[in-house]
Amino acid sequence: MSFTAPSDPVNRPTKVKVSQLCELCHSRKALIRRPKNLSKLCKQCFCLVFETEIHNTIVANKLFQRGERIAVGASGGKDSTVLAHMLKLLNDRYDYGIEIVLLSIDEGIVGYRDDSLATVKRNQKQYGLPLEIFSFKDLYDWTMDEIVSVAGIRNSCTYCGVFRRQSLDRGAAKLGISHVVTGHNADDMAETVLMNILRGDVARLEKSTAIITQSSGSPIKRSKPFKYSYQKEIVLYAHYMKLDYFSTECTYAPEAFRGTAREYMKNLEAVRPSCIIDIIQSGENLVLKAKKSNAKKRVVKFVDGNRCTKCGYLSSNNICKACMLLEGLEKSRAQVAIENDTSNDGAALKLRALEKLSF
Amino acid sequence: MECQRCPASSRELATVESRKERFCNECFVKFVNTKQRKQMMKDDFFRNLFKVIYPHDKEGSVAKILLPLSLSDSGSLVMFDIVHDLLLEQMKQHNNHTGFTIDILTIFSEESLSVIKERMECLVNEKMLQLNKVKNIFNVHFIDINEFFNSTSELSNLIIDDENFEIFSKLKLVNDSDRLTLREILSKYCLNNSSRADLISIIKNQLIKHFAYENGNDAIMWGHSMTKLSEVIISLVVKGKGSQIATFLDSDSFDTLGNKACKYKNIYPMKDLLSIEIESFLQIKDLAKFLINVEETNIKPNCMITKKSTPSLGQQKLVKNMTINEITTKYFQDIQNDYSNIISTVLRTADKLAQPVSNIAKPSQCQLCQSRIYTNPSNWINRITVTSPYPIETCEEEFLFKQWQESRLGKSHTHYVELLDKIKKDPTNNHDASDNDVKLCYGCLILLNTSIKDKNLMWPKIDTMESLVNKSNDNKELNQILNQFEIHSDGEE
Repeated sequence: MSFTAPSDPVNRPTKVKVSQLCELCHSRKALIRRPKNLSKLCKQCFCLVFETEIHNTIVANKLFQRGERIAVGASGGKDSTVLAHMLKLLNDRYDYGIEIVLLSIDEGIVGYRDDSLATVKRNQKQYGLPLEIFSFKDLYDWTMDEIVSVAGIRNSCTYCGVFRRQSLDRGAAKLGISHVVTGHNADDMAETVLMNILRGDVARLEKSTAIITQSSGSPIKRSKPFKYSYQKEIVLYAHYMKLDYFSTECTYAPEAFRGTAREYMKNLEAVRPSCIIDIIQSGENLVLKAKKSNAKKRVVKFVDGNRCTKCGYLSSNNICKACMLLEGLEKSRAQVAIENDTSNDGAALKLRALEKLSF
Repeated sequence: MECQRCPASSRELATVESRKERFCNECFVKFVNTKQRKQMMKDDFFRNLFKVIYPHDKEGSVAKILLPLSLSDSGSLVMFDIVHDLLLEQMKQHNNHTGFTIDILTIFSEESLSVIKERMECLVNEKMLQLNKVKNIFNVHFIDINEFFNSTSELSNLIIDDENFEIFSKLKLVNDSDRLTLREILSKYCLNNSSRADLISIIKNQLIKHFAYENGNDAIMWGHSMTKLSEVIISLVVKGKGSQIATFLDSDSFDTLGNKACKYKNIYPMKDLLSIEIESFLQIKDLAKFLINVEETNIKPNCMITKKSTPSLGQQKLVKNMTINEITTKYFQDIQNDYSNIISTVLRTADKLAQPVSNIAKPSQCQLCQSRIYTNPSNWINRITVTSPYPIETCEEEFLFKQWQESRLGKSHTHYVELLDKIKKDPTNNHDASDNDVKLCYGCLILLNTSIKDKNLMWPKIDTMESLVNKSNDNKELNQILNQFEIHSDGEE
């Protein structure tokens, strides 16, 4: 009897069935099913489609002008890392002629932001882009850890959201940049549409899906090139392109109400995977009725472009939201404190560690 | 605990607690009645419809109102009960005259016929007969849901190109072999419960509206509570039908059905009431016995102090088996404790919405749901979706591509592309590449593309629907109830 060598189980080529092939190229094995249209795609087709769709969004909405300097809001997370990578790639590929700067905000959350900023610093080297970091401590003399120790963990997102938005604008203004690009994706956009309806935020309802936002009188405009990109696809793209990103969620609790909307959308996706883009489509068609003029009522007309009397930042009221929050915080600041006290640093991290303890 | 609404001298025991107030049975019934009647008197149009107008013999002095009664839904039953009491009051106060008559329309399917018959018999005997003995106030109509497929002479053949989201449609005269029943349609096309529920809802809605159009009704009274309306609003947003919210809630304008302008308006008299209040009303007035699909031991969430809800013993549905509306209902139930005013906020916000400005050249109606189309859905999706492949690079990829081409899948794809090309070139076909004649709204395009098995759907053309008024009650068994009902229907005694 002749000897038959055993087949090599490791290097044996796997046979791809025709039904497993990508629905676009029909020549490579499909790896993902796109939630948007349920098509099965291979890695190469997915990456090409993903990049081209973002390029199309940029071009169709005329997001950039040649020679423009743009600041990418970089947190080190998946969205902003993919955004920085993508803008550099598309700028080189399609010659937008823009100058990209990474702009990071250090909120002062020990055990979270310090680690994610380390990722941004690595990204800076990997992509060869300039990086500027502005901190809450420098701008407001408060860190998020200090704020949480005074105001409690429940309101952390309110403070962080207001200060970070303002910090990005202030940072961009200091760098002489008038365009901040953020990594808000389709999931964020859909969540916002739902939350604005659920909370009855009529003032924001019509603008909840705007890809470019700018207040009149403000030198800074913001844009969201990932408006139509699913979070899942962003994560997959980062994975396939082996991008270096920081994947831990903020150690402070996410806003409770947003959490409920997120959970609701997760359930909806199980039934209708396209629901995220469907919600955005609905959001684009939400229009408010014209207001009836009421002569009896004294109408205080809101003027877009008002300035805060304290700090000079854009505000719809006399005092901007950040100054109002700071005023409240200052009242609660301890009169006497231990010098070089670090007990509040990383409070959230400790809390998270305690939560995970089991006996 | 005492009722906070009774006069201080004679306070009854409280049985219901709602909106931080305690009510006795009588005060709660009055509270619910007032909420509904306030909506029925919301503007001059509805005030003139519902109040008694003198002289009585003046033409048009008695309005014809359509009340779609679903015996599986508490809202429409409670609405019917309140309207019944209102009519009774009007007859007492105005010497047997009423401001309006009611056409009750119940849509049934074969499976639910026997139980609907039994419940309607009870309802006719207990509620309607008393008033109809004096005057013909209630007219009961039944329509088989399959009439939607049987009553049209033309079908739209909708073909979806799932690669480019283009829609082709061709009109077709109906042969008997084309006629399908609802059950066949649902099993042939629907992939999940959600798409099934969506199609059923579209069909019922159109049957009701078509009936109101033909029957010459002045208004349709929908039994949606505030909770139900909020659920529908959020569901519309989720299904990509946000543009339809303003039309759905509109009770100021006359309705349209396809291309037809209607002479009726839609009204939601229960929109100020929460579903828990409606369920409590149902318990107090002992109306649950008229409902179908309700276990006697299972009481839905309510705001009664004495008779709390009992959770269903049946297993909770898996999320993937739920419909979008059910997921939304569950979401509202889950967050109601922490965010109590969310339901009223959603409705208040939606009431502030207007119809969006149309981006298409020619005004079009969706051939599936009959709603107005504002943007070309195919163009919108194509703008944000790329379908061009990454080039073939290696010999192995080339080999796999050839293998695919020669396979059954590849051949059927080639055939599909050739067929689409032929359809595109056929001058008798319309397709949505231009904005001239858009066939489907965004929500229905996605419904067909993601939840429907066959991308080739035969759907009745509503404009060619025959008269449903003649077809209603076309059922021997149901006629037995109506015969009993018609004894006194000739006029006043």
